[in-house]
Order: sequence, then C-alpha cells, then structure tokens
Amino acid sequence: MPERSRGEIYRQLIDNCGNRLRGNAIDGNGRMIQMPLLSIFFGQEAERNIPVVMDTYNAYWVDARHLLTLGQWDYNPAEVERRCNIMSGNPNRLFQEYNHLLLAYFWDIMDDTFETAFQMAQDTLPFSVMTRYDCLYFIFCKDSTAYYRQIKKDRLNRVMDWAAATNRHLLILSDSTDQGILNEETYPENYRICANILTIIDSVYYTDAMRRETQLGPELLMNLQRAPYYSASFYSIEKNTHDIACVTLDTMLTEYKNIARRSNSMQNVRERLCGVGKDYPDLFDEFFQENLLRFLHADVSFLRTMPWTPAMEKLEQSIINPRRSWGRSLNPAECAEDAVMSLSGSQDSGPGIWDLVYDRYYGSALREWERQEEGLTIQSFFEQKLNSRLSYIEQRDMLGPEIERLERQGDDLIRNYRMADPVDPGSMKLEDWLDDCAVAQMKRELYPTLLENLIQAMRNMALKSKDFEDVLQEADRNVPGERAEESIRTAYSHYAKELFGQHPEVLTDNIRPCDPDDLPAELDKAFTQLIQADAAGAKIYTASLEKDLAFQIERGGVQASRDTIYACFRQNLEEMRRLRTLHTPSDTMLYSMVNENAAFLNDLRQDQFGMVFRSARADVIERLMIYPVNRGDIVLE
Amino acid sequence: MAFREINMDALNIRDFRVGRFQNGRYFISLANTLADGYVICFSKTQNPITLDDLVGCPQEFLNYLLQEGYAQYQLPSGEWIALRAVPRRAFDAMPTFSDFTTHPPERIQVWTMLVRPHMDIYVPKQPGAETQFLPAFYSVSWRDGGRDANGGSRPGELVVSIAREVQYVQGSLEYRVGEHEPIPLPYNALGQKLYIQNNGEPVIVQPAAGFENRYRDEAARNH
Repeated sequence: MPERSRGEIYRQLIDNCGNRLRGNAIDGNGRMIQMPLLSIFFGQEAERNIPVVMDTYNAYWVDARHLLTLGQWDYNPAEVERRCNIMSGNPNRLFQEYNHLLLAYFWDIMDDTFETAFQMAQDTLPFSVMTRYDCLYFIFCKDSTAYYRQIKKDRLNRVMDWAAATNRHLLILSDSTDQGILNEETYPENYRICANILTIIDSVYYTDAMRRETQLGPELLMNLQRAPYYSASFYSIEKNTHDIACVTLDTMLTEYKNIARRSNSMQNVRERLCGVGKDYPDLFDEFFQENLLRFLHADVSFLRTMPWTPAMEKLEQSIINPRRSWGRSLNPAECAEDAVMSLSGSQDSGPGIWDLVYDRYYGSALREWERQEEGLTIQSFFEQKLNSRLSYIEQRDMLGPEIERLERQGDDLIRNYRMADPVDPGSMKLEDWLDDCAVAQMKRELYPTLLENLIQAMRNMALKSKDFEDVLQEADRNVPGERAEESIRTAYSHYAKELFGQHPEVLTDNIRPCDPDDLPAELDKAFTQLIQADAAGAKIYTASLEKDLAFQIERGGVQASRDTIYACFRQNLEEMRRLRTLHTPSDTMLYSMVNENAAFLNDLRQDQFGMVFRSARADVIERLMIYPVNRGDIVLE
Repeated sequence: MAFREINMDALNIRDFRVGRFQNGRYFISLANTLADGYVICFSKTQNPITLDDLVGCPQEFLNYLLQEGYAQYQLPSGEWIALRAVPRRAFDAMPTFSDFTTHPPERIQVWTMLVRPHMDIYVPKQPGAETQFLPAFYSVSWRDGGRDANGGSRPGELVVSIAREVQYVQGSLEYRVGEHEPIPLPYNALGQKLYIQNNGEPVIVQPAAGFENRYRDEAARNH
C-alpha cells in the first residue's frame, strides 16, 4: 500500500480515537425530544452532511436514533407522511407531543438539482387537519466565487420570493463570513448550527419544582416564524480531542519502543518465556490451565461407575490398603494405568469403554475451546505469550536460534516430561487417579501439536519483527504529536507515560510485530484499553472541557488556557455572522449551549451568555446568535 | 421417467403404517387408489429424504431401479439410501407387504409411482404421513450386586443387547448410575456382562443425546 493512503489510515485512526474521547465526555443526562422531527435533505452536499446533523442530535438527545431523515431522491409528500407516521407510531413514548410534527429542510440551493428541489418544496403535504406541523427551511448557499455568486443571486431571490408569497420562514447561511471563507473542513459547521437550533426547539425542558427551566423551544420556534428571513452567528470552543488523541498515540509509540530497549536480553529465551528453571512443557501446561481446564468436569466421580474390572479392584486396593505384593507395594499411579488398559479397546476389537469416556469427557475439550474461542488459535495464543514476554527487539534478535534448538530437541522434551504429577497423592480417590490418567493422555496427544504451533508462532514473530522498526518509524511519521498544542503536548505526554508505567500490559498485550497495515488497528485497541485504565482511576481522558483545561494548567500548560472559556464568552458574535449583510443585526436571540454542571456561568454577565441550553455534553461550549435579516441587507453580488 | 413433486391429493399415501409380525418380520400397509406402483426408500440420514435430495438422480439409475426392483443411490451429501420399486399388485394381493428387509434404526418412506403419461415417481413437498422411522430395540438386564459380609456394596451385573444386524454407532447407547455423568457403550461391550459399582443407586440405560429417536427399550415396546 502506498505511503499516502497509509497516511490516510493513520489520520482516520487519530480521528476515531479523538471522537471516542469526545463521546466519552458526558456529564449528566441527555434530553428527551419534544415532538417527532423529520430532517429532509435537498442536494448532494446536504446529504453528505447528514452525519453531522445526526451526530449533533445524538450528542444532545437520548433517543435521537429513532429520528428519521429523508433524502431528495426518496422525497415525495406521501413518503414524508409515511416517515412521520413511523416516528409517531413508535410505541416507546419517545416524544412529549405526538400530534405536532417538525419538518426541517436542509436545502443546498447551489446543487445542480435545484429546480427539482424547488418543485418538491412547493408540494402540498397531505397531513390531516388535526395534525399540527411546522416547517423550517435552512438554506445553504455559497458566494466565495463569481460563479457561485451568480447562481446564488438568482436562486436565493426565487426562494425568497416564494417564501414571502407563501408565508414560509428561511434561515440562510453562506460560506462567506465576516471572518473569511469557510473551507471544506469548517463548512459542515453550518449544518451543525441548524441542528443546534433544532435541538433547542425540540427539547423537553424540566418543569419540576427542583429544576424549573425556561421553555426555550416554543419561544425560539415562535420567534423564527415572525420574519421571512433569518441568519445566524456561531462560535464554539471544544475539548481538543484530536490533539489529545494524537499526543497519546505518539507517546504510546515512544513508550513501546522504550520498553523494548530497556528489556533485559541477558536471560535466555526459554526462561523469559517459561519462567526461571522451567521449560517449554511448563508453557504448554499454561495453555492447558488457561484454556482447557475449564471444559473438564470438576466432579469426576462418574469415573468410578465405569465397569468394575479386576484392575479397577486392584486400583481400589492400592488406595485403601497399599500392601506389599510380590516384593513391592502397589503403586496407585501404575494401577490406574492398568485399570485404564483393562477398559480400553484395541485396533482389532474397536474402541473400549475407556476410549469413549475419554473422547466424550476429555478429548472434546480442545474441540470445545476452538468452537468457543472464535478466531483465537493455538498459534495466536503463543504469539500473545511471546509478545507479552519478549520485546520486539528480542523477538527479532533471539528467536531464530531458539527455533532451531526447539526443532532439534522439542520432541525429546515432551517425551521426557512427566505429564501427570499428583500434588497430594495421599488424598486422591479412585476416580482422581483415573482422571489423572485421562489428563496425562490429553497432554500426550496435545503437546506435540502445541510444540508445532509454538515453533510456527516463533517463526511468524521472528519474521514480522525483522522489519518492525521501520513499521514503527512510519507510524511515528504519521502520528505527528509534535504538532499538537503545546499545553496538550506537555500535559498528556506525561500523563500517558505515567499510565503506561502503571499498565505496561496495555502496550505489550495489544501491540505486536506486524505488517504496516495492521499496526493502526493494534494502536486503536491499545488506545481503547488505555482509556479504560484511565476511567478506572483519574478519569482524565473522559473529563469535561472545563476539567481538561484545568488539568492542562496543573500539568504546566500555558496560563492562557485558564482564560479560554471566558474568552469564548467575550467573543463578539456579531463578528461571526454566517451571511454577509450590509448592517449589523438587531433583535438578536443569544444562546449558550453548555454542560448542565458547568459552574463558569456564575462568573459571567447574562448579556454575555444569553439564554442557556444545558446539556450532558461536557466536551464543548457552543454560542449561537439568531437574528432576522432584511432582504435588502443581504449582499447578493 | 423422473422424481416429481406431488401435484394432486390422490397421489398422497394414506394410512401408512409399518408393523412387525410375531416372528419379528416387518410389514407395510397403506392406502392409495391411483398409484400404479410404489417406491420404498430406506435411509439412515438425519432428516427424511426430500425431492431436493433426488433432483440429480440420473435416468439410467431410474431405469435400473424399475428393471431390477432394487437399487442403492448416493446422495449429494455422500450418504447412501436404498430404493425398492414395487408394483401395485404386490399390495393388492395381501393387505400388507412384507417382502423387504430393513436394518433399524432406519427410516422408511413410500412414494407413489404412475405409469401414465410418463413413468414418474411422486414425492410430497414436505415429508409427512408417508414417512416412518423404525428405531432399533435394545434390551437391558440388570442384577443388583447387593451387600457383602461387611455391609459394603458389591458390583451389580449389567447386560445391554441389541440385534446382531443393527448398525450400531459407537457410544449411541449409554448407562447411567444415579445422577453421575453417563458412561457411553462401545459395540464390543454390548451383550457382555458389565460389573458396575452402583452403591445402591439406580442404573438406567438410555440412548445418548442425538440418538433419542433411533433406539427404544425392548421392555417399553413389550408394554
């Protein structure tokens, strides 16, 4: 895969990790929805921004997944009614009002299909006279080029004529603002503004004695229906989850390499893998203990109900009364072997009772493990062990000779290993001795396979670790932690390093030598696990914007961070208009969308924050100004 | 000549029954007014044979079946079934038809055959009234061991038998002492005396899971 597209994969990784942090920054309860809301999208660009709109709904409302959308190609009046009926028919009492509908048109008038959309907008909707519905038209236009301006002028005039003639109300947003042109990255904010407006209109507000709120929704809806044309200003500050994710991933790579460089290569591979004084069969015992033991019956008393042969009788005697016989005492382990033989079949006679009992209660364990552990194989089990006990540098430098040694001596190792080793033979009953025989038989059958898989795992890891240094370097280039904001870099690189120090398994369990295409997925897994480790402790990664800024200051971030929130409210929204007009707006409606537990509003004046929409989102502060515009004020040329 | 799906009710087999004479021989009785003959299908597959299983059956095979009256056919799954073609008069002569051999556990299905307009065999869409599964019978003898002089339990004597011709699947019968896990029986343990330490707990013999319909206790049949 060429470098460029891998760069895209890493960008996607950083975005995903950042989004996960944003989604986790919740402090409080999501709001309920007042009435069914159908969002209708006219134009390709509008349809491309459906996720932006839905993400906003989802961030503020608990049941937003039940809200439906409708694209231009599926649009017709009957379909509008059908989808509204689906929402109204939801049996879960999602909405406060069922006889009132809200239809929001997200209409990109710059689209080539404008004429069709214009016809569609004029269609009469077939709702019953008993149904009350309100339509809001969000008009998206562009005037950053002469070509756009020409189109905009013609189409916006026609839409405004229609709105004036039919008593419709438009909220118009453009890509040219007083702060400059919106680019591909910032233009979707216009859709977010509209989704925010709908969120304020269509939320349920608390009315109980404990927490009585101003009903912002009905008032805003009414105000938006007083004049034919409106526009809006917008300003927000957000927790910089992108940079936090980027710095954390960068630290992850650095720490992974540091652990590898620090690891002790003086011990031999065998001792690193199996433990001091131990050998590979002990590692195989680990596999057995971790994976297969749980499939064996804890109560093995049924083995006593197998047919009572003379050898079984002798085994019983060896346990009850280990007398001397022919010059030596009866050894229960040997007697158990004889008892098993007495119940086993042969190649000529077919299987005996022991063979079937063994197959049903012991031999099936491996099959059962493979069935339950989908995707995990014996080889991948050993790859995990190798990776958690040897650094990638050790895998690269030390596995080759060990593979050769195992290929030469592995069979002897297994042959000479004592498969059954009773811990407390004095307390063992007849069935325990038989169980011991069965377990030893399992191991005899299984361990050669485990050896093969271990060698294969070693080969695989040795091969992948050969070029892994290059893979890590490429990842380093694609995760530019150094470009993150300085205070985030300082605070989060130290914090992540501390977390990795406390939880090194986050690195060793998730990142292993692999192909360049596979590393992003491994980093993603490690990131998720790191967030979980943090959530069980200091909860820094899931902190609100406010707490995050405090954390950055505490960790030596620049002092300016303290003022970030207040600077947001000092920002003059008149300078953040999303439509060029000749005069500054009047009759403005000012809203702040903040977390319900935010304390900073106490330090501000009402005229700075306006009306407050409180939410569970803790990662963002959004400020909105909505105002009517005179048609003559709109700059069309 | 071909296998076809039944397209009229008169082609369905009615009152189908497989019984057994005193001498142990199996017989079939059925009713159908339209058929010119019947094809009897013997199978040991998990599910009854359907038209889908027979779609690829070559013409030569069917000609051979008609000519010889008996043929074996391998299903796409690899399993074998046996087919027997019988003219109507074989049923008309006697109320029952017993000129066949079956090896329970085995399933018997009977399909109608028409000579006109073509020589065709009619198979119902869903197997139903024309299908019967014949379980194999096993017999159990148990003699409790009682107590020894010291009051300890002595092993009891268990013998589990099935007819020699039954095609036994290893472990498909098992015995169980009290609430302990069952012990599966291999073929070579059948008909043999097995001494079981039951310590006064009941000993039962039963088909293993998945074989419940394939075996039945002889004692239950005699009742």
